Amino acid sequence: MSVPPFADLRQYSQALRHKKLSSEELAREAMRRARALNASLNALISICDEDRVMAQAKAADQRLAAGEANPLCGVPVVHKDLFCTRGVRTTCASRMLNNFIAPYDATVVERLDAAGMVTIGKANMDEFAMGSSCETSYYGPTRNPWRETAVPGGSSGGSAAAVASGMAPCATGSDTGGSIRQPAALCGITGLKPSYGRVSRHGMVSFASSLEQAGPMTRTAADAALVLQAIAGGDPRDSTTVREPEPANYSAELEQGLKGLKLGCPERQVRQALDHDAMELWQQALEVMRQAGAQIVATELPEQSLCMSAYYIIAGAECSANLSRYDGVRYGYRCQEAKDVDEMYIRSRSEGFGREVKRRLLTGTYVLSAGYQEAYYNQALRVRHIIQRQMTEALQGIDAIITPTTAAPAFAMGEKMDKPLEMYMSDAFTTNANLSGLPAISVPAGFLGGLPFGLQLIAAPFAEALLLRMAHQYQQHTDWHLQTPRLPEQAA
Amino acid sequence: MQDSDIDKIATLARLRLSGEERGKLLQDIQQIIEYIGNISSADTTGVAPMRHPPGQFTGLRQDLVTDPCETDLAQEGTARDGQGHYLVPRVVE
Repeated sequence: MSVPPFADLRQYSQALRHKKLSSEELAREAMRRARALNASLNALISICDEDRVMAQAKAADQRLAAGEANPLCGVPVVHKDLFCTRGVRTTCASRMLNNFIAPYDATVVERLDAAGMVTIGKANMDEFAMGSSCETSYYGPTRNPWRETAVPGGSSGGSAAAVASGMAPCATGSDTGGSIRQPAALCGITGLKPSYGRVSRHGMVSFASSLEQAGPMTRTAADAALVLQAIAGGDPRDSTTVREPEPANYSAELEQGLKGLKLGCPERQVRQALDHDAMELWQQALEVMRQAGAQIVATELPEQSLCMSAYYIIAGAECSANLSRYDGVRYGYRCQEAKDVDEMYIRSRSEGFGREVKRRLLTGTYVLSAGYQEAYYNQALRVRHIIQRQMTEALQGIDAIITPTTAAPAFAMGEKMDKPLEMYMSDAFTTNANLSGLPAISVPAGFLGGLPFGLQLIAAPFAEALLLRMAHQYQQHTDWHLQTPRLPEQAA
Repeated sequence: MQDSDIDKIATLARLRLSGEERGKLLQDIQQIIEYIGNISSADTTGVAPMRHPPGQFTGLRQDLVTDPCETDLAQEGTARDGQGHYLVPRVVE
């Protein structure tokens, strides 16, 4: 059987199970496609060594032959390059970690390996996950498969582009302020940010520890349910993971309809943010939800400008603390010929970090410095508490909040690189979920000027099963997630 | 943020900024600080700071070594003496 390039995870799984395809054939084709497409998209920083990939695929074939039940077994996956992978470099898209090879696997990687997935590469991203366009990578920008002059979003832009272009049906991502959902929206795929504490971050390079979560990026919500099932749950090596409630069966409720569910729409904020064409698409998406049985009611979200300020203060402060470990001593980049230790620290960091990382480090250091900590950082923590309460109130009496994932589709490469504030506004609809620890999902909801547009659903803590059900039902009534970009002939 | 503040902040962040880079970063950070200054407009009287999302956390585990990392493996790719020590420029004359 030939390998269809844009099959989803479940379709590949079915083909493997029914022996229409072997994992080795699938992995070989995924590698070929990744190599062919990466020349133009730059979605992957590293393509794994063929022997390593084939060994994983062969092991998966043996498990499948023995009747393996896990639907992920034998399916290719791409990991965002901030998940540590033993034996494959983990760069975080930074010169600082160029050629860094972790001595252990991240829990997410370990769990997907255990499920039998086959890792074909490590995905490009914004440096240290700081960015919304995947342009700040030390390894060059990733391009959007739908239009190569447009950004794929960020920071998990390489993961999104890899799935959208059919390199793999599944990728891992991380979401600190929207970094799974925004690139998923801009590349026309599905991206889930789980609740804070649902998925282990052990072995995931830290940026802002109180905000970030690991999650799946797939073609469909049903696929995201399968991947979440494998990675969710407590981990003794990450004390922020929760044991209670236990992960649900995320696929069990997918086929339940939307009848009786209430979705809260922040109409005022959506109207302020969207232009006429986007608004039309948005109204169509709401109508689909109504047709599917959901009731749309009005709601209000916390003030977006306060969310953005609280987010950028807290994320900056946490990153300035987290990234202090990169000093050139224990691992990572070390400058040449420093005359003393202080110079080694300073030059290693100055030469190893890119401009966006420095911008955030400086902002974070400023808001934590003597004389400013109370006015900025402590105030932001109180505002965060208010935002969390407002989100909880907004969810009272409804099942989920529905918003656009972003106000507009992908912007042109280079357009916002020298306008950091404009770039930061890409996260206007997404940061509230990170500040509050809530789960949220982005699904494809149409096209604007030929580029994908996404809608977001946000629910109460640990209500991932409900989110996946709503997203899946939406995808049963639309075909936006089935659209595929036109790609260079050599990759077909 | 004043022009002189950027050097102080850079020193605290263990960074050295070159001429052109310094000018651009100063300009960017001034804009960012101005924007995030709106945080002061929120009335937070009586509101406790929230450092992480609320929820039940597992707390601590037993203080036991479960999966030790070999020193040689952990130190791969950095300057070391082969006896578990990292090598750095001389700190004592």
